Amino acid sequence: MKLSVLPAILCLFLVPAPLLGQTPSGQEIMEEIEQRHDARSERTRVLMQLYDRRDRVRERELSILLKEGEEGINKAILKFLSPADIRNVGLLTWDRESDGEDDQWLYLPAGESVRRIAGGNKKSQFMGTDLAFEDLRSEDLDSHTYEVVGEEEVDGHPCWMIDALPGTEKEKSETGYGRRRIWVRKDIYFIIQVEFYNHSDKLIKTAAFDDLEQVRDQLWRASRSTFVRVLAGTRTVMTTQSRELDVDLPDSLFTQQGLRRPPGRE
Amino acid sequence: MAPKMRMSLPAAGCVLVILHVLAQAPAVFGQENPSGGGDSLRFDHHLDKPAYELNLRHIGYGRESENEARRYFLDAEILGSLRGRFGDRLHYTLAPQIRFDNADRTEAGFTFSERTSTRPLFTFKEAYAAWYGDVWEVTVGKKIFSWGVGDGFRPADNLNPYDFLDVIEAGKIGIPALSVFRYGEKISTQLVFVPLFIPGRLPATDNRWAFEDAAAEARIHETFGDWYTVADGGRVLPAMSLSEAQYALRLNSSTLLMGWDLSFSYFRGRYAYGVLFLEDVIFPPADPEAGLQPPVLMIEQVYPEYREITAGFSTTAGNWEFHAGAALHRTLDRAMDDSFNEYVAGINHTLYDPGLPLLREVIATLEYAGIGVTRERPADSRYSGAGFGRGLDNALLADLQLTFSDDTHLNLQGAVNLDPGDRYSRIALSHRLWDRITLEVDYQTFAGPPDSFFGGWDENDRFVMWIAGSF
Repeated sequence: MKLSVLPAILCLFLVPAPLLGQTPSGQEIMEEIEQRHDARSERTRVLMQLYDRRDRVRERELSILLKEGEEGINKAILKFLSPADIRNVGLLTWDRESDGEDDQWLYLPAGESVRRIAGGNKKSQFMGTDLAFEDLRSEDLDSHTYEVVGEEEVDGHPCWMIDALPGTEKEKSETGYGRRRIWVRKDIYFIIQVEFYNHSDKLIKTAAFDDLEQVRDQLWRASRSTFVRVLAGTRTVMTTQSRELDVDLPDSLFTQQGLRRPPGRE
Repeated sequence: MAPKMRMSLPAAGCVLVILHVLAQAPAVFGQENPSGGGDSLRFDHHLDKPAYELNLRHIGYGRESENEARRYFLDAEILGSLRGRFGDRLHYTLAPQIRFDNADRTEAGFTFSERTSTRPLFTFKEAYAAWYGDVWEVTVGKKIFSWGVGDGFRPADNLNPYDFLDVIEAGKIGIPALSVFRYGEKISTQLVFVPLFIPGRLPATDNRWAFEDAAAEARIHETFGDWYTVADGGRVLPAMSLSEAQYALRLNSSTLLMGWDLSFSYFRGRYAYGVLFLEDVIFPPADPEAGLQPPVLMIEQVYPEYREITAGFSTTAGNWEFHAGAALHRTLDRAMDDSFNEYVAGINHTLYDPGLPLLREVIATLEYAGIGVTRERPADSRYSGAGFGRGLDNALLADLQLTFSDDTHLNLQGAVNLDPGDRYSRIALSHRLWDRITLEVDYQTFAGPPDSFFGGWDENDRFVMWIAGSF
């Protein structure tokens, strides 16, 4: 074998399958998404608009801090900045990769205490929004199976359609979704649309992610997310007001004491 | 001759910790701030948008009471929230509070440290500065703390006293304190130094919530029969000095045992609700017309020193949360008060979309609370009372919160002391009328033997209408 050909052949083995034009598996696509768009930490300020069935709107401002755990615990803290009656209400989540369990604590300033809350509440709605607690978490690739079921063009962008199903008995019992259909843009490996089905395979919710922004290299973020609860006729629109990635966030922020702190430079 | 300054060992320890933190301050201040914005010290000021709460309460009692004939009350509160910061680490919080009512529970004027037996018209519920580092956190000022586990009963939560002028609507009173918190990967530590004792606020004898301590009355009756009068000798409050300061240490962890919150605390201070001390017995001279006069018992309220060690845990499994805690309370002067242990154990269950029409979520809590006296006050002691702070003994507490929508909630609450069976119940319906205004209507009942904790208030069944606004 001539030396000049060998490097080219070796490169073929090193390049990921998607770049070769083969259709990757659902699992491969989801892993690629995680690899491209994960950040070590993130600080975001979000405006949340809750529309009822009569299109009346309530606004809430949120601060979200995320940190990828060094000991296999991914941490997130959400704090409400407004309106006044829920200011400083906070939710702390530790997502334990080792055993798939979550720890959650809720801080209600009115009660002046932090309490641990049952983690089996994934299906419950988060603070009256159209998002369930499980919608706020990062995708758990180990607890689901992913299958590419087709391709479709969305807003001029070719997408894979992937069906995500709960892959473990634990996930089946805890999740509110029997199935999710996910649309992933082929060009940037980014989720732009999701349909959520209940355990009777009835469509209960949709989510759309737009106003995409290339933050750096292959890392993208959506500046606007819209969740619609189909039966209730309500929707929640989340618009990012500011975002910083890979910031130094001390572990002390992601604790019960940190939950009690007033919002700072979030 | 200049007075000697005495410093107890715990006080010295606190001072050393504070000096240690301050000594590191230049290095710590020079660290990168959490935003990753570089090494420079940033003192640009930022003030959060102020927020205000307005609470209006109308209370109607079903009956007149022996202590207070008035049946209808109005009270109002304006609570502000001002938060600002200098740079990323130095914050301040001010919560001005204005209260007034038509029942003489508040007195005109401003008080910062709330040692008065009535509420001040104007105070700060909290007012403190805080410095937040990556590992250390220091706060100084008037603050409300919340320690321990438990929903209806928290034996370890004894830093702040309560205002019991309305026993059911009791709220915590802020205390002047210096708190130093250190985050640890496995165990976090908090040390709190309270230089000034703040007593709890108890209902006066002309308040329908006045607590008649049956045991104290029985003791006086044993000695004096029915022929005596009582004179209020007032409260004997400890002075502000290092030797009278209170200290608390807390260790807690959520990582020693994953999935478990563990906490341990030590408290050294004074019992916030006091005991009664028979300071003197005065025999007035005989009246020429009326004859012999009954003896006057001069009774003071004093605050026994005690030490308390507590431990507690909280954990979850599925939709269940479990918690338990215990406190070992040791009164230093055994003549003044009992030593006792308090404990609580509870479970909490959340049911989502329970399948009933309109009902979205149900949270049910059940707790058992108990007290075990380990060393009784001697029978011949001149001290008596202290039952106010120990009303829940061999008690079951239950709470059911039903959520129908974001705007509408129903809360059912109850507590029963299993022996002698006195009990309290509450049903409260709240509904958000507009974006910022919530209306709550409550009905509360009390029942039981007249000399029991809840039964002593059986004239206080009441209806409460509460309008709350947040701006």
